[in-house]
Amino acid sequence: MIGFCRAARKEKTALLGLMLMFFLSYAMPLGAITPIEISKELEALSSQKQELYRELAVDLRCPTCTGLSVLQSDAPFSLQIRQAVIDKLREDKSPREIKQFFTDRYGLWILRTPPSEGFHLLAWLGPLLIVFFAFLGLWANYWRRQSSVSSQGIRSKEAILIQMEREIGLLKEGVSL
Amino acid sequence: MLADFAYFLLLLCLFSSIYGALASFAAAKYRHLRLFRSAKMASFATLGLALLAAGLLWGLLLSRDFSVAYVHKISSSDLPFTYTLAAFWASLEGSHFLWTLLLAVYTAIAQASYAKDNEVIMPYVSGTLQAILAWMFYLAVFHSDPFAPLFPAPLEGNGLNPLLQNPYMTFHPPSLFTGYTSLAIPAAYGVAALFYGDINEGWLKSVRRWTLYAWSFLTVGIFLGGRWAYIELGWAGYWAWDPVENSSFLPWLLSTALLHSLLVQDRLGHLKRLSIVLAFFAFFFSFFGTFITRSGVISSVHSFAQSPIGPNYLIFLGALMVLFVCLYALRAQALLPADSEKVWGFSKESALLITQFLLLSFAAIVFIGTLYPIISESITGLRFNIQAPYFNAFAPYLGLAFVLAIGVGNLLSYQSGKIRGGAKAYLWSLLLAIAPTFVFAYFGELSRSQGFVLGIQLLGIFLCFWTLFCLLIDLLVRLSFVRWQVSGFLSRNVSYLGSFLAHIGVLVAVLGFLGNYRGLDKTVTLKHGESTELFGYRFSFDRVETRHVENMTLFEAPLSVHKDGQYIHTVTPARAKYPTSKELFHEVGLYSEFWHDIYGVLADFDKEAGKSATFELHINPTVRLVWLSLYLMVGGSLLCLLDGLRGFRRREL
Repeated sequence: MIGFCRAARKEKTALLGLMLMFFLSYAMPLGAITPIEISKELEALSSQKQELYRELAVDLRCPTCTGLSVLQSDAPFSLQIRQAVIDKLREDKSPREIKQFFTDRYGLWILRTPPSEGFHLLAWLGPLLIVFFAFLGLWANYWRRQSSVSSQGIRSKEAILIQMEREIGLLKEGVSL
Repeated sequence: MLADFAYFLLLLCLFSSIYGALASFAAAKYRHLRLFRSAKMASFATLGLALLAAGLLWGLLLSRDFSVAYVHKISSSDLPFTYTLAAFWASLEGSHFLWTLLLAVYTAIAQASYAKDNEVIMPYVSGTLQAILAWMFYLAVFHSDPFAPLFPAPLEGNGLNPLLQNPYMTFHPPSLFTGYTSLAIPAAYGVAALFYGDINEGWLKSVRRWTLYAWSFLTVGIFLGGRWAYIELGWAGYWAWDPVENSSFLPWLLSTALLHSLLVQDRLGHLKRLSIVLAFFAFFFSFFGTFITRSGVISSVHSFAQSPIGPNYLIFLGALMVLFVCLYALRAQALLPADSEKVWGFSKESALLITQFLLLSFAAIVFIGTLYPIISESITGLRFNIQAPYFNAFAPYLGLAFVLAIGVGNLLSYQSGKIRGGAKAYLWSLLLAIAPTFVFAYFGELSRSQGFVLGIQLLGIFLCFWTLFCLLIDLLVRLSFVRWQVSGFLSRNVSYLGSFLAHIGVLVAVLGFLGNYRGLDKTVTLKHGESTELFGYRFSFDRVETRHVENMTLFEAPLSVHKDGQYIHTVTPARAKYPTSKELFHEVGLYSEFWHDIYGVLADFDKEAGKSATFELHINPTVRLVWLSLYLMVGGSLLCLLDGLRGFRRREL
């Protein structure tokens, strides 16, 4: 449990570091960017790039809020990231390069989904594997089998009763079991 | 003084529930009726004492007794009456106490109202429930005491988190907790069936009722939370796949699965063990959710409820799991399926099994996504949170599979491949669904999406309408079987009608989700007298006005909305200033038409003259369908609950 608590603290330190990096890398006066400026700059881009901007901004997390993308948040850091995305798009960078830029700088932490490579492939394949094997299990257990014996090899109550009756009948006839 | 007395009451509750648990299990072991009666009385005593303690907490909140740490933490003198009452469950200690109180209430009700059939297993049920209750009281007494004193007593409290000062937040926690706590009862019945080694007819009836009850409240609770996020957080969405949202969704999925496995059990006497496992896991995940909220293992929007109570929950969850697995391993083979012929072919029971498969797959994905940050950190050392896009990559396909399963499954019959009304029903629905799909696509403004997304949306909408027509044709066919004796049919098939409504509710919800897959938004600054246009709507701004409502100061920026030159409505996005916080909180301006929500957020405004303001305007299609689906689903489930026939019927199990 202490480990968990420490993890939470570690995240906070990481957050502080990240904030610092933002200040150092952009060195902008605080509060320089407002949502309205971003929307104006966005309108200046071509409609294709606006679409790209949306797709990219949805995949980057807001550093200071929980569960939201930079697109959904107006926190100062989110606005700076959005500004950076627009700048990169204006420089005709591809979405891949832009994502690479952010992950190089701030780590995978900035992404909202695990990348589909290396160990993190597990997060994507895990659910698919579970679904596949669960279905296989169901098929083997219910649809392939055509007997009235339960999965643990125990016969049902009725089957046991029939056998008992038969054996009682045999006993009455004088057969020793 | 009063607080000390209330703490003493909690201590008494702890002792009486420990006694109740021990006495119940002893009564079960030695078949001692009077000992069991005494254990039952202990649970009523616990309830009485807990209610008294809750009354005292409310009294302390209303009298603003800041010498109690909890009262100081969550209330202040400016808080209005209703929010003072709701402050009871605004933070960790109080919400834990509310949970415990509700569990005491349902433990007592379950003891007072069992079916005659269940007499033999009741000691086990009672013992299980009171053991859980004892654990909750232990936590309340030793780890999260709502009556802890604060010395010296401050003159003013910290105040309630402004985000929680919202009518939906008043009802969201009690409703959700009602669902969680009443899920303990099916789980207790499951444990009792394992101990006893058999399932009788009354078991099914009781478990079905309690699961339906819990399911209704869970659904209401989840929707209230979504609605709160929609109107309070200002990001124009209602579901963010936040870890805590997910962990309220897990018990919902599992209890839905339980309802469907009970159906097979009722008709065919199969899936008994699955029902028990599902009942246990539904309950288990309701506690798992609390663990996530409380411990801060995973960061979430609900982190205002964090505390060192986390490790205790982990111990509890671990112990629960170990005990249940042991009990199941030792006793489960005693529960035999009925010896029914011709099962699991192409038939309704197979369709229900597929439903289980889909629901549990969904639960598994949500579970993996929620816990992945911990897995990833422990293996690669890298911590990041999985957020919405991950879940959105899986959810649409599962959603469509659900829709398909509802359509196909409802028309099938048990133990035979016969389709009611014949395969024609499916084909006719294909034809009938085409027109509504286009109507919906037109009004839901699908023209804004393109490519793959548009394809999924169209396919989904078509499938929803296809399923809707399948269900309607099925109803007509059933009515024609009884020669259109409508009232007679309905009075004898109340639970069919209930499930019909609930399934339509699911379809309406899926249609809603598909429609608002992508909204339209715009950020704009308007000066006095200016106006802007978005998607055919014209928004005109006049000035920012200041208004005082109860404890808050509102800065309102009314926008009058016109469409085609006609005045429609005035939406009033605002910012609220509370005396206990420096921050300005969002009050969303919202106007709902049937097809669209006009949703305005006041991002910034000129604080001196109030002559200009920056708005974020959203047009969200089909959100209203999502809220509508709540009424259908809960109405349907309540109808099922009212059905007197189902469950009373004697069946060979």
